[in-house]
Amino acid sequence: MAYSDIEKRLTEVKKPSRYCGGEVNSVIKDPAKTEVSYAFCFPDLYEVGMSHIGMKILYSAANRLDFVRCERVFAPDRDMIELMRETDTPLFSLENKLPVASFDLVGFSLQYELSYTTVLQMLKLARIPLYARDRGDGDPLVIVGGPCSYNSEPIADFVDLVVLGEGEEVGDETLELIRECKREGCGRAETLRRFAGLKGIYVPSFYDVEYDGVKVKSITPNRPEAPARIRKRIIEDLDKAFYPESYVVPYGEIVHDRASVEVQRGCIRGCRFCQAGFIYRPFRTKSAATLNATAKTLCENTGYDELSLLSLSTSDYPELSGLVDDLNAWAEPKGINLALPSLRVDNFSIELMKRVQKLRKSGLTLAPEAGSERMRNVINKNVHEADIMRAVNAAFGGGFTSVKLYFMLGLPFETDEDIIAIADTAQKVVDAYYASEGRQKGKSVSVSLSVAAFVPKPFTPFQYVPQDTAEEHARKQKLLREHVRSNKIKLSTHDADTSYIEAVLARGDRRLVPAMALAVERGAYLEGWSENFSLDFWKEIFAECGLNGDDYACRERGTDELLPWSHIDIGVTDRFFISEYEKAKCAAASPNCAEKCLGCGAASLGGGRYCAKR
Amino acid sequence: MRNVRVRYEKTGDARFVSHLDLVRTFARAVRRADLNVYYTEGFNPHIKMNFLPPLSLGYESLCEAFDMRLIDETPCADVAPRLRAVLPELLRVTDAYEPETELTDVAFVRYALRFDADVNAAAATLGREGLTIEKKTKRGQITVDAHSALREAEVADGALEIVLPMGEASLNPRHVVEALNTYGGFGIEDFRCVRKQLYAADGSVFR
Ligand code: SF4
Repeated sequence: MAYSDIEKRLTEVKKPSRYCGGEVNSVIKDPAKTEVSYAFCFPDLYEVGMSHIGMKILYSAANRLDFVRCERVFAPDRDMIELMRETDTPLFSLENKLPVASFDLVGFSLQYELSYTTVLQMLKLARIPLYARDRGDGDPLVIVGGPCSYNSEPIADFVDLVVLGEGEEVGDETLELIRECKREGCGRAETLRRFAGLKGIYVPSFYDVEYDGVKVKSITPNRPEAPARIRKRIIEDLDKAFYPESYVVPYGEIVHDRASVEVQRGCIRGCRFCQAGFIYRPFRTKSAATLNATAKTLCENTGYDELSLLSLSTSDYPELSGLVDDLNAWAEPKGINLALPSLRVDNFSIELMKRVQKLRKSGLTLAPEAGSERMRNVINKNVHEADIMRAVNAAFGGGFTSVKLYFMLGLPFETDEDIIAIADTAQKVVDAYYASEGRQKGKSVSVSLSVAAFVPKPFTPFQYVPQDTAEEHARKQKLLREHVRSNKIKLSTHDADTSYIEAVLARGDRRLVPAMALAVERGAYLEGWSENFSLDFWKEIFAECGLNGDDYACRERGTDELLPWSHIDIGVTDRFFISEYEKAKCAAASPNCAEKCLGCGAASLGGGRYCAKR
Repeated sequence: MRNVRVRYEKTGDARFVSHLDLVRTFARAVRRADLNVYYTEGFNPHIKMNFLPPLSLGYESLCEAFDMRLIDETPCADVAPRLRAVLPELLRVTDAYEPETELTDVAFVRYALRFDADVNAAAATLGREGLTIEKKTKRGQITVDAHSALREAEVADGALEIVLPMGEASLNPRHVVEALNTYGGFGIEDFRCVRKQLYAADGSVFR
């Protein structure tokens, strides 16, 4: 019934240390001395969750408040679930090994759509009533945040609160409000009522949604406290935002095992398929001085020998070169490697790569996303073939022998020529290798061509477009495969089945709620891991619930249609999305924020580096 | 360059940390403590560290050790407090000194075993002549005469304390528990085990 029963048999499960906590820099507080308890859950395995920087920031931020006890919870692996079942142990936290149901607040980070079922399964493992309406005064408040919370409608009935936007400030306010409600002895209804008044908090049960067939007819607040639209929260000045000086260093190896600092938020680019590019607007940067100081402290306190600069597009950091010099000045003598993920092709600098990766020579990774110049204009990915060739030539000249290329298939307005252009681009890279003077003689080149299925996402100019049907996608894959002729090119196609369910859930509405409940009842869990995912399983679920996945994934929405997420305000206006969509139709690119502000609406949130004053 | 031997305890939940993870954890601790130590040369340099043979997952210890090399004049006496400050209580560094022995000089280990069965009867069973302990190795099963392998078997503080050989003819406490079940019918399902003391070949406490 408790951790002590599990403990005796913990060596029976794989990697037992991931259920024990007690790692360096973990924070273990006395339950008797803290007023508010917060179970911070990540709906994936420990190794994935602990790699997530947002989790580390918010864990430290919550625990810096004296009255708060924030403890971590990860999705247990199947063998652990079996052991929990045998010992009749409910889901427990890592720090004090307390049942998750005993916490005041239970929060989930929603990073991708396929984790929804894991969230619900964890609620069941915690023995918390699945539906929010069935929870009583003694049950925790269930809160979700993260990128998928902007449209969390498919799980709307299971959550009490949704955080829209960046969690640092609203997190503090949430925990303070819980303390206030506890002190005043507020019941659940009153607590939710007060939360509806907190900026950046969405209470799904305070809204009624009416449907007209597959379309949303109306979204209406059913309480006076509930605003008609809920606006996301952002941190205007990132230099003043909380950033941890140390964070938990796991014993075991995790996916991203290194110190990382976030250099900026948002992205100036506006690639039309990219949800992150819009939901994190406007673009804000941290000063190089702050970053340098934070990074140094972080490395000292964690002992990591790799430091990563995180952002959506690191090359767009205005002071990148100087920052890299500053960091290298102390990192290099200590044997700390710098990693710069998310460098762009166009202003890609092999010099920079050389400077930061002296010790470990990895391959070059490029993401042109689309094969033809026309298609790249459609998606507003401002990368030209000349940029790609310049980058690979520099790389080959510098001794690289492998290149990874990322593309998407099924983008809006795609023609067969655009698909063939993907294969052609890969071929040109192979040819460039053999034409390169500086290449390593006698060594062969390897080009790995990774092609994912496009998933239309809410809060993008492509939120209206249909996803390709399974048949059409299969035809396109075949076409592409036929045009890959060199054995130096290894084509891998991302599983279209998962992309389909992602597309259903990403633009889903509350009609999906019973399907989610049924899927969880039938055991859906950790679906982000391909061995746990099955499209047939979902098709059966949809059929039993009288739903058709195609209505979500493959239906074109009119630009005048009320969307399931119309009551959520991310700052960027529909008018802007529609105008970008129109431009995409005629393959017209848009300038980026640094070149020219297009008045997308995000300026009203404040803090944007390039936003024009209105 | 001087060798330094770090002695530490591995207790509580830290017993679920695998040996490989432990090595990684100490390497990072050395960096956090900002100790100037010797790194291996080559493509992927790492701290040169030597550990005792791995402790089985699930066992605790009060007497673990690893050796590394200091490349500056840091007094050995400073090493323990500096490491202690950057490690969790469950991996407590107790001592650090310049060793006069090799880690391979450890000949015997004292373990304390706790389980739900009569410990006195267990000690008596292990004291009997002719009891054999079976140990599976890569080359098949080896049968060891318990009387010669077990240096001591006694009850202390409610636990069964046994002294087993380490090194080439090493035995794991698990083998002893299996022998108790097979020949004594003790039916022990799970037990807690703590490594308590290391000894040199002459029976003196290993340092
Ligand atoms: S308001 Fe202008 S600069 Fe700011 S995010 Fe929107 S388009 Fe970019």
